[in-house]
Amino acid sequence: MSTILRTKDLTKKYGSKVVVDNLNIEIEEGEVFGLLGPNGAGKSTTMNMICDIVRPTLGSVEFYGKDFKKNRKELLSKLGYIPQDLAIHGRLKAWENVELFTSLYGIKGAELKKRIDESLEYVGLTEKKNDYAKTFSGGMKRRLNIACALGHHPSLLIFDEPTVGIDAQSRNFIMEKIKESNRNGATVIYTSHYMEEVEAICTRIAIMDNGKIIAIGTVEELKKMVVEDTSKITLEEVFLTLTGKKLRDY
Amino acid sequence: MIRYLIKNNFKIISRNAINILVLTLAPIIVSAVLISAFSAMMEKYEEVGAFKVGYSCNHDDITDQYIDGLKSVAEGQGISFVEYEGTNAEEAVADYKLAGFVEFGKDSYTVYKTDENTAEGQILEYLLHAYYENMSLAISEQLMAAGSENVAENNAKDETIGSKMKVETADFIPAVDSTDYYGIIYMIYFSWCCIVCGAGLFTAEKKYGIEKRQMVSGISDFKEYLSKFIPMVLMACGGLAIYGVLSIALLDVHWGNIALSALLVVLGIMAATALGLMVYAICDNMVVTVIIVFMLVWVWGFVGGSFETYIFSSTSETLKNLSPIYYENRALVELSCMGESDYVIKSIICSSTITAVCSGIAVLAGAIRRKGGKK
Ligand SMILES: Nc1ncnc2c1ncn2[C@@H]1O[C@H](COP(=O)(O)OP(=O)(O)OP(=O)(O)O)[C@@H](O)[C@H]1O
Ligand SMILES: [Mg+2]
Repeated sequence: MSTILRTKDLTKKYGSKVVVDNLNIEIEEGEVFGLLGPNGAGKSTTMNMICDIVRPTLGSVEFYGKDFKKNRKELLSKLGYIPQDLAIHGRLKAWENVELFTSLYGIKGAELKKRIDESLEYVGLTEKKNDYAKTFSGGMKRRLNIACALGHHPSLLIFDEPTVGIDAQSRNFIMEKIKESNRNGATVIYTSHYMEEVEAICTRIAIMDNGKIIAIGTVEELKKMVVEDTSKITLEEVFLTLTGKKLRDY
Repeated sequence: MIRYLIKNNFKIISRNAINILVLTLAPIIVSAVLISAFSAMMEKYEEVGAFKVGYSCNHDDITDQYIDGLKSVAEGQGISFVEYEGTNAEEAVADYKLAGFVEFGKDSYTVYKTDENTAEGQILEYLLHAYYENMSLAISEQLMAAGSENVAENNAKDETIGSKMKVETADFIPAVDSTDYYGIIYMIYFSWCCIVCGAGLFTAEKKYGIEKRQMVSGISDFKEYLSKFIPMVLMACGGLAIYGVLSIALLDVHWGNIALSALLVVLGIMAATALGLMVYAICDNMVVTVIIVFMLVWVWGFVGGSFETYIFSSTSETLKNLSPIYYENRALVELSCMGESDYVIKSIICSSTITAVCSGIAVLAGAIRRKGGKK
């Protein structure tokens, strides 16, 4: 396996507040990398810097061994970003939303049509393709939000809390789809507050707090950091032990 | 492919009922109201026939020359100036049944109007205003041109001022009725407010983080700009085209040269859109943008004849010339009532310049905000 993404001393400050602090992580091709952390830990900010939509205060991101500055367009086309916010237009129909975001990558004509159908099919919204996004339920919007990032066939998928506020069925569906994408060759970065999700799909997990990575490894390795007998502890307990029980109000 | 982005942005904009309301119904209602409110007044101007005005002055070379010029210009408009020396203005008006009276001072003049002859009073005031404005313009032009030339030549040129004025001022009071005037003027006024078309789109993009998502695709700043500019212009053109048809069908507005008028309005819409997008790119807040643009448009409209007709307004020509709306108003009104206008070219140049400059700044400001700030 080769490293496809590497952050070097990645740092983001807002004023004097350090939101991401000297982050050095490497993502291997083909893995599902989980990023855990309490609210305000800096997960979304890290993702945004990886996608080059937030400029780092210091440090850099290397993607396929290249710098974003020189190869921006090429690198961005390999990236599929599913934002934490539902970044879809309520006044557009499901297929129009997918068309809008997929066409930004230079895909057009018959190929575009094919990709739209494919993306909608993938998230199970084929039946609803002609409905306006504003009429969708929370779960359907989440799925559409995902479909909009798939049309250009990215090789790195970045999911920022894709399962917030949706029912068990939709969550299960999304989990399955992420696994399927991974089997088909996509590398995945995944953040969530649901420990069992992360435990179920991630091959490696990093726990982030106050902008720093405080632990990184497989689920087993993380559990071992806390107790000897790993069958006696859940990931959630590991998380709470490592990050403390204090509420995060930033 | 930017065409899909343009198409979908257009769908988003056009599926917003408020836009149709602002671009079609609002101008129809506003112009209908103003047409009926001012029709009586503007009819009076049309009915005004020849009338007599008294004046008094201190005779000296310059004043005499001015007054002679003015008299001949006024004659062309059916207004005769009669001198009454040593009388009080109010008495003269009452005694000789005058429509008004003018006292020419050393470097000012006072106009007396009567309650019975309000329309005549307005026309008189306007005539004097326009005459002096053009006179001083002509003189300063001459002074510049004259440079080292001798006085005799200068005097000879004064003659040309008089004849030039005659042509200019005769055109100043075109026979336009309130239907045509306000029907035309409000299409222009609302076209300058077309930034509201984009309000829904911009707000959604910001609120739902769609802006960020578009940035992840690496779309260029110029394409990003065009993807807003083109749909907004199309929307405004579409909405106002409906207004145009309704204005003819319901209000019976005469547009004169429809093709040329349409071109001017489209150019105006492009300028207004570019202006709005520039303000938005700089301040990054839709509410603030709408407030700034509306204030600017209101001021331009105020001096450019959107409320009080520019024909009779006492706003100085210099101020009017600062208003792009004035050029457009005047070009379209003159096209309607005279079939041609010197202001067509001026309006085209003005709108195109605004479009080019504002677009440039908008793209630049957007790029700086996205790349530099990157929030
Ligand atoms: N534009 C900004 N200006 C100032 N502070 C910001 C900005 N964006 C994020 N922050 C701050 O940075 C910190 C990290 O935010 P971030 O969204 O990365 O956290 P997160 O780990 O994704 O949290 P959550 O789990 O709640 O999504 C927060 O304290 C937030 O208030
Ligand atoms: Mg987050």
